[in-house]
Amino acid sequence: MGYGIKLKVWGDYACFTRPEMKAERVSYDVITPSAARGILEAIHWKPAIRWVVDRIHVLKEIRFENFRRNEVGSKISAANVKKAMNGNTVALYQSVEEDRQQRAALLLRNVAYVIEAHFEATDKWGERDTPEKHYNMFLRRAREGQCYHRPYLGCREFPAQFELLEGELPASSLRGERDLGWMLWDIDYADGMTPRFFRPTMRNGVIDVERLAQGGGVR
Amino acid sequence: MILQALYDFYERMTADPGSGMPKTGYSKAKVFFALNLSASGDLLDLFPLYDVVKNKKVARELDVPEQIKRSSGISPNFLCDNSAYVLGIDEKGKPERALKAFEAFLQLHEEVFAGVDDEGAQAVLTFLRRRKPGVIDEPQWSDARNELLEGGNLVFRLDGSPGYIHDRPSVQHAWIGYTAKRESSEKGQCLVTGEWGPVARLHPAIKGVWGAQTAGASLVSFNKDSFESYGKEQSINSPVASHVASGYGAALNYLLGSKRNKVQIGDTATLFWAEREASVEESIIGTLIDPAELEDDEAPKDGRRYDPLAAEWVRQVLRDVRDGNHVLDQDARLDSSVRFYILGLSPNAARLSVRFWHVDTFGSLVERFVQHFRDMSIQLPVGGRWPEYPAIWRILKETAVQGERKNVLPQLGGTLARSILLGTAYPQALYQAILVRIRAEHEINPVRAGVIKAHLLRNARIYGSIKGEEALTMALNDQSTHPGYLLGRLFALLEKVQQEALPGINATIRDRYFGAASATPASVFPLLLRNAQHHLAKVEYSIYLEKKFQEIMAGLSEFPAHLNLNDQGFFMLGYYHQRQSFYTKKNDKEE
Repeated sequence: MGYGIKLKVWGDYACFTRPEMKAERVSYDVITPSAARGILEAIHWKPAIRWVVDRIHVLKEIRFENFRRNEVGSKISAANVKKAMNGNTVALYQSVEEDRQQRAALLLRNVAYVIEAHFEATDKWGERDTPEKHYNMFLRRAREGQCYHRPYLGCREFPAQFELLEGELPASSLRGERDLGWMLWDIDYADGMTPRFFRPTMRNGVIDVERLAQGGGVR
Repeated sequence: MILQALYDFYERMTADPGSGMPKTGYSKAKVFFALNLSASGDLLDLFPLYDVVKNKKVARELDVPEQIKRSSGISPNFLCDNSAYVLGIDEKGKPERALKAFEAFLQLHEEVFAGVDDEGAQAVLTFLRRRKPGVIDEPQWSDARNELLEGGNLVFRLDGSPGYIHDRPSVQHAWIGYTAKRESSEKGQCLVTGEWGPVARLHPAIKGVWGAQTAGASLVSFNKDSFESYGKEQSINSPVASHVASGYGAALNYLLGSKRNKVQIGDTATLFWAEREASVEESIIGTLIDPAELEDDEAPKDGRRYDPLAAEWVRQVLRDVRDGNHVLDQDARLDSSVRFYILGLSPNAARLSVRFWHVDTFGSLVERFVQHFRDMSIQLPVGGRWPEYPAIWRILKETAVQGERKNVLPQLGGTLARSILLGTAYPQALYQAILVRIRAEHEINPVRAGVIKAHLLRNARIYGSIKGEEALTMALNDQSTHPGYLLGRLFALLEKVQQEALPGINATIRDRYFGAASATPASVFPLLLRNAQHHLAKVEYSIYLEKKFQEIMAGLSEFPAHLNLNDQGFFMLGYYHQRQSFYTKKNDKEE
């Protein structure tokens, strides 16, 4: 179902954090399918549709850079928020000065990708939903640079520029085959938010997520 | 990728029994004593396992059943623990705690050894069951009591049979069976192997990274709740199968403990290993990352890895390149396609952070290093002991106040190493730090001059040619008309004239004017030239020097008010080249 779309995204920095190196962040080599889905959802999403990423084109050389930032160590406790909602008096603030955590990160530098994706209907699909409607909504929004929230490359602090691709695919500077190792594919929200991993191979800069998903590359 | 490569390394090493890599379920620990038990569970002897080196006890490292990461609670280790757990003797004035520890220790062994028919296991059980914790009644112990209380680990031996009890096959079997059962009930897809199975809750402690906690730091950790996502706790955030977690931990500890696969660069512990058995190639890469050993043929003092064959090979390759043979000789003994992993780890308190991660083939790594050394090459002073091929740590040292490692910018080691490995532009911070040090100390040594040259040369190659590129050579280029370069040469000449006229003065123009001359030439050069006229009047061979002045001044139309950072680099290079040429001129004439 649905029409395929092609979106070019790029930015100065990106960090598709590996779950195993999440405290001292290390990025994956390329964008993950779930991060690509997140970008599409920032532009157009309704409960009636679900984006499925088919292919990812990596346009630029993979380059890393180190960064060290002052971040915060703790989260506001959910239990405290609940207490406050029940009318109790609790302190719900966070004092960043007292809760500093310095964290290093190995980020990607100067990235550009083309995301090829289509959408599928969910069980929220109503009578007034048609594939043409959602497709054209996406096209219009992407052409005009509209988004619900700023799309980002892995982390909120690394915003993504985007552009709808309606003509030829730009050429990738990457050649040859590259095993990317096991990467996060997506989170299974229906099953206790379990992470699912897949093992993509990049051929001449193209990662064929669709074929992997069909061929059992995703378990 | 990192964990995957480490786990592959672990699997490769465990396949070879002589590699020194601990087996599954085992890890290295420092042990001070072995308790020798009889088959009936009596304590016969106490064997010290430590050596005394310079009045300090150095414990022996043994492969023991994997130990638990301890914080404050009581958690016993299997068959290897300190005196509080093994004997119940108290060391910190808390007898109740020691008693509890001993009970937990006994409890653990009862559980693991349940139904195990092994002489060693039975001896340990009877020994533990019979003990009165907190009391020492065997006479031969009274002497050793204080030593036992120091808190070192103890292991068990069975009298009359070789090895330790924890190495007996049936004991190993029981232990591995127990650990498999103890594993967390959480299941998930392992992000290293992709298989479904039990997931490690805590990852092993990694020891041996300089500057990290001595008890060990974690590469994979979630020690603050802001690091956790989706309501998951600890390492459930990053599902890694238990055996993979302990495997990559063992591999990392092995690499960090090895002299062959590790080089310290600034604050970064740099580990490198080949994807398969390639010991000669590993030595060569080690020599290229840290070529300090090329200078001395004698074995290095602190027992650093040294492979004379690799050193010779590297020396030959670098010599070929210096002499203009640009093609790397293909050596039949070496496999240039073998893939190498290079990992830079730096400490951040209880965690480790990855500074860089690089995968490349042996052949292309060698080329990158050769390129680096070629860019860095510079004429050395006669008779000085300067490295022809400066190591990365040597370069970093030149950027630091007082040349101390702790003063090196924290990120510089990683970024410099990465630029060398990838063949990209050197970090701007390195160039700037070197300029700052030169201005502060008025001292340009060959390493600093080499960095300036290499930085400008690489930028010119990568970002397109720059003015004055022709001066970026090993030695003086008297054809270059780059104003910064000429001013640097002129300054060296002015200094020379002053030295000839007033030998042995306390503060030369270099001490007084170097900073200003390199940044704002227009403000000092007229003054310096006026003074030089007086100096020239005193010098014997003033005609030769005056000719030199004219030669350099001919290329200069005016004194620029400012020199930018690039031009300052040219200034310093010109100064260095001109100075070196004063000393080598004589040799040329003799020839």
